[in-house]
Amino acid sequence: MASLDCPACGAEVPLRSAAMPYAVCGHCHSVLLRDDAGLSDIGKSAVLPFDVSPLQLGTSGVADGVRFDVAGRVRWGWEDGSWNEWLLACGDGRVRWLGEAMGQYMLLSESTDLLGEPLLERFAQGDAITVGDTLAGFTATDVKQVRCLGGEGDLPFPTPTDWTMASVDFRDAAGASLSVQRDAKGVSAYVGRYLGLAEFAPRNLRQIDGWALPVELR
Amino acid sequence: MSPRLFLFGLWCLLLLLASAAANYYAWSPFADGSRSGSSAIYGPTHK
Amino acid sequence: MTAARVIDCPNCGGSIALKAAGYSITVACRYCGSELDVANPDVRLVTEYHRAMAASDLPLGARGTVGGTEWEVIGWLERSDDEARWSEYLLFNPYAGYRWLIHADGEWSLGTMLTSEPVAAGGDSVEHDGHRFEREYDPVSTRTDAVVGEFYWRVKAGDVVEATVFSNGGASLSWERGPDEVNWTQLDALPGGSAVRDAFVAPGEPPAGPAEAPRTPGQFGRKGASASRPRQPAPELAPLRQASDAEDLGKLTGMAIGTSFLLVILGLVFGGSGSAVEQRLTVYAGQPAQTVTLATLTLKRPYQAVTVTARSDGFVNKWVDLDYSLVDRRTQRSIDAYGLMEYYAGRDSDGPWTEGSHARTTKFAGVPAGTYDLMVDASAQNWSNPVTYGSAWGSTPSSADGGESEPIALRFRVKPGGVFVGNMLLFVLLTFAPIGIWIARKLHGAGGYRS
Repeated sequence: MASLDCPACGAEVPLRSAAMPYAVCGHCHSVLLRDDAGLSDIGKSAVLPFDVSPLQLGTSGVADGVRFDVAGRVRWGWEDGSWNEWLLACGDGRVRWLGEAMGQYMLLSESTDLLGEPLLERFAQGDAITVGDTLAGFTATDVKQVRCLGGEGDLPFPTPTDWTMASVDFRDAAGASLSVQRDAKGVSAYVGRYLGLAEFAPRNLRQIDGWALPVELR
Repeated sequence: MSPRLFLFGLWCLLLLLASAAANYYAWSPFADGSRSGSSAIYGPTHK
Repeated sequence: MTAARVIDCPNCGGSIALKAAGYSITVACRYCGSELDVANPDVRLVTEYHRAMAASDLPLGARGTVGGTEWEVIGWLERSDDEARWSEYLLFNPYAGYRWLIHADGEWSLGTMLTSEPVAAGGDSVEHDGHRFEREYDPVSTRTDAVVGEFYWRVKAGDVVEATVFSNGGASLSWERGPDEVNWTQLDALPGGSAVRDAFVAPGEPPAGPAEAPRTPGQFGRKGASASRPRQPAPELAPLRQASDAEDLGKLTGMAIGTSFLLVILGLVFGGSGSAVEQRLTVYAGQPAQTVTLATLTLKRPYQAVTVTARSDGFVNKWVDLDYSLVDRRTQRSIDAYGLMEYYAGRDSDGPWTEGSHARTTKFAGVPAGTYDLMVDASAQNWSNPVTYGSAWGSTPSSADGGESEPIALRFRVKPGGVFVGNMLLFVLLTFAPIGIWIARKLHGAGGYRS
């Protein structure tokens, strides 16, 4: 794996994904921008709170027939909780996200197809979406104001701690999911579905004291 | 095997045993026996 | 790396290990009972209350295996609605997520949160995962009365939601609506009795297993450990697979058809016959009765039916009274039966009509073994047709149907055995009766009552 030295503290920063412009130094938590010159320090990321996710940077697996490596993570928080979004660097060169909350996993890819729907156009203009609103077969099940709590690894965007968004989760009858976010820069949408952890045959999961890997994950 | 299935199985078994007994004793409520001349209604049954 | 994050209770200073760090929002301090908010890095004291964990069936921190996966009990809720109180235990495994154990009315079930939304399917039913579920009752207000342990959302005593259950006779779906969200949970029954309590073992507690073997005499002075059996691991739990109503109906109908088949075969097999005895007799309409004896009918089985068939060539507008007497030669006891052979024809406004038959079968039931003679008393009568073509009501009897004393030739045949079709139909009806009643009740009373 390629690596560069952190300009802020000198530690080695492994680069898991060739395409990600940002990386977070694991030692000093500086957010680093990768450019032709190497890495430049553009600020600090918050220290991620401890959590018990079975995923870690370097976990690999298969999703939609494509191999992936977990290259980065962003943690989002809201008034009553927080969750992880793991960045998957995939073998087909595309980027996917794995949302992890309450023990449930959502595989998501960015999609612009639904942004033209009236509900989302109004959302882009500042209107609210409420639980129960429907859109293309999906039903809104969750509406929250969220804040970025920090990141680690390789990322496609910097993770400043003042980054806030309105986030809406949709579900349909078949287990498909839609996640829509609005921040100061606009609206983005991610489409995907719920998976069980065993469905993407993960390797190199985090070892957690006191817990053995369940049979289906070995 | 739910309780419902089990109870119905017992019911079917009960009916089979009752049927076997009825067959052994050649019992039937539909037989014409014991209708003797003294108690039967004679004559045509045409309206 | 360790699974637990250690925090200090701001109320009493005690150290608490957070099992599901990063997921849990609230946790109860096990020393002072205070409920703490751990969603944010700084732990905040939310409420203070005291509750004895002795009231709970499963201790926090207990581990057990359900469905092949190990789980730890990290939270406990006491909830109630207007009719019942029950407990809910939150199970956690970092690799497998969360499950619920619900203990209500002495029964245990395993709850799994759904990841896809059931779809409304007409009336008060929904469809999920290819199955249809009927709503059991109108949503009722459900209150959380007590909270102990860690939870992945900010739950506190006093929270109220609307809740109901959808069922298909086998599995159930629990539906709960709070201020901001709707939660669906699949409920699977677990084995009853003490199975769940035996499966979950608190850290440091030996599993419930067979008692230690007593010391054998003569081992005085030896260490007791060598005389005891090794402790068994805690039993594993598996959700019970309960058949849905639709599945059960299919199986019940299959059983009913199989049983009906056997019932019919039983009837046919037992209806086998023996050698017949035949006789003829000629009677004259309007004349006194005539008698004929069909002799030596040997009945071998302990009990059997006896079938008598009476046939005649054509006659019209007459009837024949047949009095049968089956006499046991040894005891001279007789079993009597009566048969009627009748045949009528005429014309009315709709055209020609006929009624009756030139044959009559009469069956005796339950005849004991023995040697019998069948005595037949036959007498024939003319029947006056009050309506003839072209005449008014109540006109004179027609004499076009034959003379007063027209002979009627009868042939009798008696044989042991006989099939009682009425019996077979009766038993088959009884076989299907419970299924019919069940379907009628389901169609009538779906919904509107608490199961």
